[in-house]
Amino acid sequence: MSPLLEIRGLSVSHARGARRFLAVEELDLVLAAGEVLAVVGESGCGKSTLLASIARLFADPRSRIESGSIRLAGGELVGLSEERLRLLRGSAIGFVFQDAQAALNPVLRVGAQIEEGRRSGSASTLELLARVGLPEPERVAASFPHQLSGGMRQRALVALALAGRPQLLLADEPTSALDPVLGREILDLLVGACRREGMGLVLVTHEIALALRYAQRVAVMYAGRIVEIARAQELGTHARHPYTAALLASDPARTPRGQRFRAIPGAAPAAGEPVTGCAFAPRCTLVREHCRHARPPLAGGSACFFSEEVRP
Amino acid sequence: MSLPVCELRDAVVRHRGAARPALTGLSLQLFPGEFLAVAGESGSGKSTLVRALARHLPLESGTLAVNVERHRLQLVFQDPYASLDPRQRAGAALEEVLHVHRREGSAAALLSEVGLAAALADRFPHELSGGERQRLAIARALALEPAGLLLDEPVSALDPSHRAQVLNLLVELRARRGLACLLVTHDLALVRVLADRLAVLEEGRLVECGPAVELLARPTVAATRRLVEAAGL
Repeated sequence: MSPLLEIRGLSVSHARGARRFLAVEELDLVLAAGEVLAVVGESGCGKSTLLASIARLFADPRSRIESGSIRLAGGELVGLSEERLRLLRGSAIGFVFQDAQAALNPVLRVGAQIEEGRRSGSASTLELLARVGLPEPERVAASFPHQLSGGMRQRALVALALAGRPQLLLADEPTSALDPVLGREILDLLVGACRREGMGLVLVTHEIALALRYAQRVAVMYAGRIVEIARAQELGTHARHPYTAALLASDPARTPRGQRFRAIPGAAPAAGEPVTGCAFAPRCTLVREHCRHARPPLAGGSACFFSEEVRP
Repeated sequence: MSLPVCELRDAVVRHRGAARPALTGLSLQLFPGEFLAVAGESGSGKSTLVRALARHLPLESGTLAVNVERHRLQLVFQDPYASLDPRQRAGAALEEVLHVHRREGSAAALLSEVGLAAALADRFPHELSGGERQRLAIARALALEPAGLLLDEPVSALDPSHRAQVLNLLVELRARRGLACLLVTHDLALVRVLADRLAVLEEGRLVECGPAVELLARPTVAATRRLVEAAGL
């Protein structure tokens, strides 16, 4: 059986002035139907660009896919016309973004927006709104987005994403603007819907703790590449890339009381900055001379020459 | 016990035109040198509380006592642009505050105190990373030799690594300067690491307040339990 989503050799570039630089480089990723995969990393690592490239919804219209292939249920998306892609967005591919206010149409009532996105065979609009935990679906359906609280808007956005019964759901920091109690409820909803409907979910987040809690597999991105990918349980206990270990150590929940929080020294290479060797080398505690000259390939789930030496 | 840096008693705050008050009968003290965390779900009144303490919002009833000079209680926002002029370079922004308030000290010393390289003095806020910008906002507050910092979710928009740096800075400042810190956060994992006391708000009321370690281990109200659970503690 072919995977639901199969990305091969994907490179994506952003424009800055007259120059272009790669935000995602030679990236491979596979997602099975019904699987929840989290992509984690610091801002600027390319995780949102990766997600945007799947449906070609770039924040900057000058961004473009340079090479590679993105297949959804076997069908190639790269090179597809804008018109064909538009048909897939909202039907085969659903979205939940961080900013529900921006994602919902401000001049259309919530119910009408969901009705518009509904496919035959989907639950009714009111049923969808009830399913995402909105207590008064009739009132919400008749409301404009600005009349709802932030939490209600985010729930409405989830209902809208589910209305098209997508095969693939793309979620970019869907809860980072919400308090953790609400955030948890929204993620429970998303993950529950994926299990029930056999949807695939790609969850982009900068919180590794969230990724470990909700995803079956976690991909860690750094400077436009995946540096580690593993089952969540394994990654949480046996990181095999120094960057993953550093991210885990920076999780406040793993910091003992009264101790300093663990920051990762230095900064990721700036966008467009040329990198030779391993991009993480300047910040790495395990770095050797070799790392500064040769780029470690992603092999056996880790892009580190010394993955056996990584300690949590 | 020493005099609190600031203290609210039975405070009621109502936003203009709102039927329900945003804070109801709230009493809370911030003591010198303590690290007080204020937690609660969205809409519980955390930011209103901070704004009331900073006199940015009037009280409908109740009292606010600030026992230090007004400028010695400084506010730090989630979005550092709220206190930084985007057209002013980092060094100039600090010089200006020092000059206007006739303070000793230099921009270079303030930058160094918050762990920013001297070279960053020539940068505009947008040329700094989110974490650097937040440290600059803290440096600006330090220029006024505060006795207390009111911090409204200063790290919730930051990456884990920048978050760690800013939080470590707060812990250092408190130790070095004896600063009182009131930190609004909804992340109880942070609270467990650094706070002395925890106050939990729900619908504008203070529903729990006490030693952070005890409350996290044995929350007595549902609001705290939900937050503890969501933090994965």
